Amino acid sequence: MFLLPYLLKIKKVLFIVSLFCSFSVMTGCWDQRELNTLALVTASSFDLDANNNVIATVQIFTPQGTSSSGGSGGSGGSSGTGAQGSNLVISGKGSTISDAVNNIETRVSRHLFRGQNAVIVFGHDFAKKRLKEGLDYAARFYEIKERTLIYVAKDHGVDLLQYRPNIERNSADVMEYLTEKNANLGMSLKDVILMRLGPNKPVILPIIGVKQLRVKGNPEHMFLTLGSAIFANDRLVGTIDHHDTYGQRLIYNEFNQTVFPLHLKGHSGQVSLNIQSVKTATHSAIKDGKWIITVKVSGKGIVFENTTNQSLFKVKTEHKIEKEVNKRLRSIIKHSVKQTQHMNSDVMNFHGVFYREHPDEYNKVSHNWEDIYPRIDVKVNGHINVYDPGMIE
Amino acid sequence: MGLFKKNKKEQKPKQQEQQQQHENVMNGEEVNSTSSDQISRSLKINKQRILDVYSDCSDLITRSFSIGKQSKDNAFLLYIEGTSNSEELDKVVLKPLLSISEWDHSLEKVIESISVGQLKQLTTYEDIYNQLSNGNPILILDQIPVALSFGLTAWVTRGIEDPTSEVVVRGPREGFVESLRINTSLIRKRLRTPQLKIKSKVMGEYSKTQIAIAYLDGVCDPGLLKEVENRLNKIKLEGVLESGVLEEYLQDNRYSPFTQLLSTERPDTLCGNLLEGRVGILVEGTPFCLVLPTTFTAFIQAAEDYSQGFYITTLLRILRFLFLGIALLGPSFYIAVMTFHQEMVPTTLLLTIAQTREQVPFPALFEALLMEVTFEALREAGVRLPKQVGSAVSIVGALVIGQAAIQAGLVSPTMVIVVASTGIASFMIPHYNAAITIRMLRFPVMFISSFLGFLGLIMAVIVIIIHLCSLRSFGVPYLEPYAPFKKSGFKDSIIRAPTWKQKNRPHFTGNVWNKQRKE
Repeated sequence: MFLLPYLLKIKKVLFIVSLFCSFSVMTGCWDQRELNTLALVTASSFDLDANNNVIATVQIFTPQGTSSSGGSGGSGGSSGTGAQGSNLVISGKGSTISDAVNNIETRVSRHLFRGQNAVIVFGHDFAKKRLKEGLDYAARFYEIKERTLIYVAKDHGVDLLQYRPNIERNSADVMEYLTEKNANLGMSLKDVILMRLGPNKPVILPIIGVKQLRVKGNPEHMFLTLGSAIFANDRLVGTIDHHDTYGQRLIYNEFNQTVFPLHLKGHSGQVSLNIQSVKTATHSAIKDGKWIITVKVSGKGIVFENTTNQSLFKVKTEHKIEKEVNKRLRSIIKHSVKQTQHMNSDVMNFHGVFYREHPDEYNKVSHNWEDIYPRIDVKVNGHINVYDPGMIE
Repeated sequence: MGLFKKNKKEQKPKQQEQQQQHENVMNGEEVNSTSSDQISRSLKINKQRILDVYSDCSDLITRSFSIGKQSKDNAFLLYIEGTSNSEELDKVVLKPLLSISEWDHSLEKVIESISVGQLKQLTTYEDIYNQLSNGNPILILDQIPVALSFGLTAWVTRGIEDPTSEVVVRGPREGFVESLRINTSLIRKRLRTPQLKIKSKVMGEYSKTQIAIAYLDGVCDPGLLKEVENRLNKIKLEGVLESGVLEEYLQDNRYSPFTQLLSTERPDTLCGNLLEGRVGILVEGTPFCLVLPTTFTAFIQAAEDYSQGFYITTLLRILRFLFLGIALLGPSFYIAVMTFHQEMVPTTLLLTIAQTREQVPFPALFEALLMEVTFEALREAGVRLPKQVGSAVSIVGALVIGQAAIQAGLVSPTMVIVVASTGIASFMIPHYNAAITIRMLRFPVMFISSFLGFLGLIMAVIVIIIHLCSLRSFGVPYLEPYAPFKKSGFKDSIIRAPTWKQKNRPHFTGNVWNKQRKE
């Protein structure tokens, strides 16, 4: 009996020893991945070939360990591969996306790590036919972040990944930063999934493409945002141009800033007005069975350029400019709404506004929103003020 | 195992005996112990006995001389060379005694002629040995069973200098020295009240080290004082050469890596703590005194905090707390991110790190261990090396942890930054032995986070916090102002409220009647 405390002590020690023993056996089980064993995927794209097979493409950052990786910042990265390191674009074919990705994985010595994947590009054909699959894969696969940006390519997604930009390290960076600029449409995976919850599964995705330009006879590739692709029920129902996309951005209250060249009535020349700090309030009303959306746009206008002979220090001229810009915004919003109503895809989130302000009425018609949406009237109140006419007359 | 247990039981009575003896020694100054031998009337016997005990002690100086002309060699003076002021001894003891012409073996006459302030009458041999060891010269007279000791100690000590381990920009520059009496005088200089009590104690079977327990009567919790004395009485040691030895015995949790007693070599720090109701333990022969109870907040409290403005102090304390976290978790965070959570790093940074790490052949854990161990080695070498070669270490160190290591392809530049910032962070902790704890705990956390990533890192942090919560320093919860939350204590924790706002003494002062600070 007097040995009991000792036995208890031995038991404790044995427990700890056995714990450590089992740890040492389990070393193969951990999901540890050294950075050196990863292929860092910066962007990926999905295309379809003629036989309806998925072609998955990944843009991999290839770290070229420069011999003296100190201050010089890798001057060894020559042969036009950008300032640091270079990119590798690999494609694989398969019947499904994961099959195609697996096909790539068998040919790469490292694990394809998509935790840093910033952009997913759907090829035009892929988006047309298999958008749902693409979104499902992106949302389901645990490594892909919700913040990943989704783009639709003008034709092939591969072209975008292969594009070598002049300023940025790779095309993924370009696509990532483009959305932060101006009033460009940027849709993250999370945005798309949330938007797709609406009636008829409306989705709007930016279209992007590479175009060859000739500057002084030298061919140069340029990135272009080319408007947006509109989806309804996971089918591509149409495209709207870059200018009309502003309407969607305005209604979503995510309009950043841009410059509008304005003609003043009865004067030659133009006034270029930069509008910024734009705030939009969207409200709904149901009057005599008519569904009405009121969009109130307010913001600041700064004159960047004046080629008219008018003095901007006159309040009258300012009023003229304000009138013009508000007219312009009204036409943009109305036009883009009309187009989406034509395609019958509520990417303007009008259903959300009605649900918020008239839940009872909305719930009655929510199942046949496709009948209501094209008949919604839009009224726009523009309240852009010319804030800064400039320092000179 | 059973046998061991029995043996222990048999040993117990012996130990008790020893303890009794020990206690007698402690009370030795006041004499009247029956177990020690009384001094004999015969000088010859006394002399013989003392010389026997001190055989082979070449530093014992003895002198036989005669008082009066009646008899020869009736007095015997002895002291240990270097411990007593021999000049003074000649002047105030020897000279007057030699000038006595008539002596009738009366003690009074001798005492009258000696002009020494501190004079003690000893009756046992034990006392004689103690007084001799303390540096007091002893005079033994024929026909008198009493020895006289004179307070003429003159130990060689260092002058008062800057405290090297706790440097301040603003604040007193006096530090404790190796002499207990000078140290107590430094406290007395700052707290000139009879309420400052300095209890004396002798510890160590052979070293007979003087120990002083300093506290402010009426501020310090009597229960705490009792507990301190209780614990000190239980300690049985052959020698107490440094306060660190006592620290190991006095701690509530002796296996905890966290120091539960603050050690300081600054008299102002000690006095500040005494005013808060803490107890200080000073040990002869070391400039480091112990302050107790101590809480976790001591990790971020510096001596200077109270002389600087409260804004800057608060900011500095937050900074120290932040860097405490970096010192503990910096490399582990790096390992976890680099091996488990690559998606957490901003893309541009990750690509740069990937590029620089490409040529490093080791896994992140090994890379971090390599650098951290090297850093610790350099630090240790820097402490131990003689000053003349100290600069060599810093030059070599700069090469090892720096560009050369990167160029050799051993580590990545990011790792160098992590190690360097961790190193700096660990030196930001104002108290050296607290910093060592953090530096040591870093390594297990690194291992765990290399197995389990952030999960392991958080687990390790939780384990550490649970341990801290369970710790107590003399009954005071280690995390006191935070958990359990004490509003008044919080005013001097991670933030420092202005002094006029800190009206209450810390919680552990105990007595409600003395909660408020006097104004």
